[in-house]
Amino acid sequence: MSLTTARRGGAEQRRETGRLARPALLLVLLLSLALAVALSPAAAAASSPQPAQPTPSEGIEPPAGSGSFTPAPTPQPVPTSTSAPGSGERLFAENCAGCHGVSGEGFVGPPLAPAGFASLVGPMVVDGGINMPGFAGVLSDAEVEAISTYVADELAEPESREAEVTAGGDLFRLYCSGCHSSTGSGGAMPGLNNAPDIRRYPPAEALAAMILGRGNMPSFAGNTFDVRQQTSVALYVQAIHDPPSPGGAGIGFLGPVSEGAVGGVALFLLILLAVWLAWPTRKAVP
Amino acid sequence: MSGDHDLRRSLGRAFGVRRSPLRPAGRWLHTNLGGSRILREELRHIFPDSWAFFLGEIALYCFIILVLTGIFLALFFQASEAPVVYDGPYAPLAGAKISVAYDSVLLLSLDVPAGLLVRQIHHWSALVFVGALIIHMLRTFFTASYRRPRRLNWLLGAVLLILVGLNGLFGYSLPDDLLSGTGLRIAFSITESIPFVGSAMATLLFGGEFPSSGLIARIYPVHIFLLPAAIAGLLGAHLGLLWLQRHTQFPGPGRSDRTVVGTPLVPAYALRTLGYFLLVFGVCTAFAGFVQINPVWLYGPYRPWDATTAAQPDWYMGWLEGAVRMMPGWDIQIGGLHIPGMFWPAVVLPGLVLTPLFVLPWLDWIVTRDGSFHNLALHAGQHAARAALGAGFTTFLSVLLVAGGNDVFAFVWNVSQPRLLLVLQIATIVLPPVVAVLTYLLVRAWERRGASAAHRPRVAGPHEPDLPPAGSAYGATGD
Ligand code: HEC
Ligand code: HEC
Repeated sequence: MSLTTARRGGAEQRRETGRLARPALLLVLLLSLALAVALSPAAAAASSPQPAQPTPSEGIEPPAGSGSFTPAPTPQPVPTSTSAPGSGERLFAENCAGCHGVSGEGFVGPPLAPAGFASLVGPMVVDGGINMPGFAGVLSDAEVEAISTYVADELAEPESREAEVTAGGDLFRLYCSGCHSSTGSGGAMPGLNNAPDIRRYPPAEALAAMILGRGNMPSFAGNTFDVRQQTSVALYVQAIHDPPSPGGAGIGFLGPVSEGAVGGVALFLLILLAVWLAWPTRKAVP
Repeated sequence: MSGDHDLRRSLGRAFGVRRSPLRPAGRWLHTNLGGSRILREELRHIFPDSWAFFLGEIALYCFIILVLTGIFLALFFQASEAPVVYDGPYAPLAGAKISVAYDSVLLLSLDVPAGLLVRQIHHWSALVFVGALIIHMLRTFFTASYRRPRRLNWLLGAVLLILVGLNGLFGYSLPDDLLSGTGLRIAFSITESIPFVGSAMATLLFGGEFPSSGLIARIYPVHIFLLPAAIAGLLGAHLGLLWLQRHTQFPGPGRSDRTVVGTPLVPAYALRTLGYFLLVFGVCTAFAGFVQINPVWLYGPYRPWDATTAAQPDWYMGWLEGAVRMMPGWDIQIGGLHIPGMFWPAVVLPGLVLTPLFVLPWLDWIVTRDGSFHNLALHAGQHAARAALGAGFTTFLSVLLVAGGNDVFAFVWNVSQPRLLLVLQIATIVLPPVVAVLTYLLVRAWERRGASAAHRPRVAGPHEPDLPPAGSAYGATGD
């Protein structure tokens, strides 16, 4: 005790007050942090009753003829070359029939029986697939829409239009997530023939993959899935194509591994802050 | 009443100078607890200055954050596997038949204002919690701060680590999404793999064959009450012992086994640590606000027949997952006794890894024969053998941790998964001894160059009479 008393003096007082400056700084830091968090995605998801994600009408039953791929709703001038009635049919015959057959029965490209939704066909036509060319510069938005509607309404099998995204999700988790993961972000397979991130392709590519089978991936059409089920899976693939992530950055949708890595970053940050807080401040002490 | 006068002076100083706004508080304390010698002393409790002593505080504050956010989550979570039809805003699950538990987590995440934010704070701080505990223990190990008189406190810490990890596992299992169900299935087969008692134990714990109904209702009270209460109790004891024994401190001018140099609790340390609490809360909240964690709506509901890649546990269980993945399947049948392959990596290995953790202080005593009191921490470079052992042990667990995510790493790095696993299997055996030997040689070389001589304690009391020093001096001039 005598030690304690003996060493009381002005020096320690100064040390203590010197340390008070840091909490003040800290407060400023925290306030700005709070502000940032208030503006963050997770908070936004919470403050709006409907999180930013596909609305039911978009996912389950797209109204026939309204391809969601159309970037702008402004009506495009109808091209003069296809002024004939039934332009969708004409355009299909000119651009697609060579590969998919006159009535979409399949030839170089797979059959279009499960392509019952214009919202699935549209992006496929615009972006193309692995062996299918994209028509981005070739066809106008209106033409793409006309073809998509035609394929979905006239060529695809009627039961394909009864597909439902929720049933597709169940099938996806049963048949696909074992290789592609439940988030669709892909997974490792023996021999480097990995199951890829399905978001790298337009959703209709899933139809092709299910029909054709790819590499290590078996074919699902016919033996495993009927047409309606194929379309359901594709609708689910479409729903998670731009994964609904109201909670902020998705960090690859790779599950707890990437979350653990980010948690490590948080811990490292806290340790840095501890070093800062414990950094000696007293320079003026004799 | 000189004692009274003393108290007033120390309170006055503790709560700032004359015109401090805290003066009324000081007066209140004085009039109500006046004359209390204990209070006077404890307000001046000295905390040594080092960032290393904040590591445990991260864990403490994460626990507080977890309790606070957990209370909020408990307002919405429903621990039931009864089926229900989803009719919330998440379109890809519209009309799906899911469990009430999963439904309530979806509601909490996508409907309840701030629900997702709070859920994500809860999860991020859980990840940080265990990390902080481990770093805190590593610090204690490498500075040999677990020695007498802190042996009991080390033991409490080791128990805390286990309880916290278990509770994290239970929390992960509650939402009844695809990943949590997959985790529970593995936990079930681990329990089942124990010879003789395994299947009876699994039936008892899980309430029947997996997937048993009512499992979530079983886990829930354990997760929100039983284990948190145990953790809070042990944490209290841990901190109480810490308070009595004080921190160890690094050697330096004026510091000895008998004197502590540092910052007094009131006001400076109290403010600093309060600020640090807010920072921990702030960082966890910031991560929760900007980085999504455990998007259960994407994973989908758990159905026993579904499987997914990238099905990992939270990171602190990753070493077990890695051990299971790397271990060749030693399925043994001796007469009527069947030992499934799971037994070796998931029961024997954790036993081998965790037992030394519990007996470490006594192991140290057996090896070094050093049973004296130590209040000065060693620098990691002061004891080559200890540093080497710690480094080897940490390396071993780190390799297991990486192996726990081997499918994800193989995918992201675009390497062959079986080959990566083989490399990791070899690394598990080769790397720890290599790292240990290298550490040993490095530390010895460093010692020989005399770099560590400057850090050696000046005052090395050969023997402490009884309990740790109660006296604390602070503010050795020139420090
Ligand atoms: C050069 C040949 C070729 C042309 C031309 C072509 N496709 Fe394809 N298409 C394919 C191939 C091959 C696939 C399989 C997927 C892949 O290659 O990635 C495919 C896949 C598809 C799919 C998804 C799989 C399925 O069976 O539903 C749709 C839808 C589709 N094409 C529509 C069209 C439309 C509409 C056009 C005309 C604008 C068109 N394709 C033009 C070759 C072609
Ligand atoms: C056995 C593992 C496995 C399963 C099960 C599986 N896939 Fe695949 N998938 C693969 C592999 C491997 C590739 C890459 C093939 C290649 O490019 O050589 C692939 C490729 C794909 C592609 C990318 C485009 C392509 O045609 O290459 C899509 C889309 C896809 N799969 C969708 C699905 C869907 C939908 C299901 C469920 C019905 C599914 N996969 C099930 C392994 C699998």
